[in-house]
Amino acid sequence: MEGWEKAFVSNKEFADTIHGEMGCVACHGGDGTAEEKNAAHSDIRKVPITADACDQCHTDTADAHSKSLHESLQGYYTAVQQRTSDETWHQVQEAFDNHCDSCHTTCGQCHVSRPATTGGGLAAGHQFKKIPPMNLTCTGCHGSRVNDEYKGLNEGFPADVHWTKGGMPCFDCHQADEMHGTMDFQPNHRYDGPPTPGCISGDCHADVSANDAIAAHDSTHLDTMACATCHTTEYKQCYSCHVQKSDDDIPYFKIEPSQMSLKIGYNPIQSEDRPWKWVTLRHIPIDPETFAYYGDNLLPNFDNRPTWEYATPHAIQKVGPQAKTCNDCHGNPDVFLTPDDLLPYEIGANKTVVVDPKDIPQPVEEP
Amino acid sequence: MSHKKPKHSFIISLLLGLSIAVLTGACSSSPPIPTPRVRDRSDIEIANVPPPTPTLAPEATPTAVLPASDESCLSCHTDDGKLQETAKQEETVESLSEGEG
Repeated sequence: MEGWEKAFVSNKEFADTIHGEMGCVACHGGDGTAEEKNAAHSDIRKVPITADACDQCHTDTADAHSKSLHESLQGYYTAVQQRTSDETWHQVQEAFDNHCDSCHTTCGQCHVSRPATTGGGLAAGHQFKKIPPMNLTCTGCHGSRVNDEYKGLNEGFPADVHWTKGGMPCFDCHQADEMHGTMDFQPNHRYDGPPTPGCISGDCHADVSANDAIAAHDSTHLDTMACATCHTTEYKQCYSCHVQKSDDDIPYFKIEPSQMSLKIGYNPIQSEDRPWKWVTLRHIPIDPETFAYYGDNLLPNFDNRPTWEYATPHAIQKVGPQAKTCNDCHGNPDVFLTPDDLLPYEIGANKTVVVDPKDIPQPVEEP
Repeated sequence: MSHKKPKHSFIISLLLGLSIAVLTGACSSSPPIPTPRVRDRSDIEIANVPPPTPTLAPEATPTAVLPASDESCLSCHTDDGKLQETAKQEETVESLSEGEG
């Protein structure tokens, strides 16, 4: 997108809309009376400040937005801070600001423009979209894992059934309260609180129970396994993202090629909301040297969190390859995260999730 | 081949006659007029409400709603030619990043 296109208000009727009535300067600053570009753009804010703009009318949503992980990036902070220490955090913070903070998004970067991290620019003139355009906003950022899995863009791996059969956009599951942070708690991480969305919450899959007609839906399976454990296909695992800056001070990263696999392990965040013993795990792209450009041994508490994290893959199938028959899972170490899957640097970090081979369910007689 | 006059022409004539008779009767007799039910208002207190003060008609609102001070913003940003003319050439910085983000 050319620079001028990013700021092109192609919908001239914008001035007559309720947002247009507020005027440009009210949200973007600058000098609306100036005829010359530089003067007009003095103190301009390409991205309006929520408190000065949206908050004036959408008060409840804008106030709650600080609880949204999209705004706060608290999920990232939690994952990184738990691995640092008080002594090293300030160095990691510098790296965080240079490399991670750009993933933050604002109200307008979903409802009006593309997110800054994808290059920014108005999405459709200056239209305010109540439902953001999924392909420019959600999957513009959540691309390599969510989008590729969901739409079947990983060669040889099928798309998510919610997409192929249901054609469901992101917002069908991930609704406004989750996006806006209008929940009754402050999440520290994506998987804090009850599952949002939950597979059997609301009207979705409400008929799943130990009394339904599906043999594998007995109480043992339903009580001990997250739905995705049987219902996902392979998904993406990422390794070793290393961040640094160029000679021109431009931040960049290098990451190992991803791999597709499916790994079932112990639930690292078992709770009343997520009571299962078995869950799907995803390798996240961190290693002890991720921030090494900024200093030595900056993640002294690397073992505080697993590198194979609790995951909800967007690769859901009616039945995953690990569940076509009982013994695709029972007695099959390939689908479990075992000590053989761990790299030397991550053995300690994954002690709570790696499966003792003796604990892999024994083969059974097929019905 | 002999043609017998069909019997049902007689039946049709009879039915038609009867229908006309019924319809005519229906039109000529008026339906009973319902007796209006008048609510007994003796138990209702009539509030002593002052007569309404006449209000002035609202002033006509201008149709151009954009603050006048912002007109120059839109006159440029809705004109793709002007925007291209005045756009600062964006420096393309080759990313050194490698791999999936």
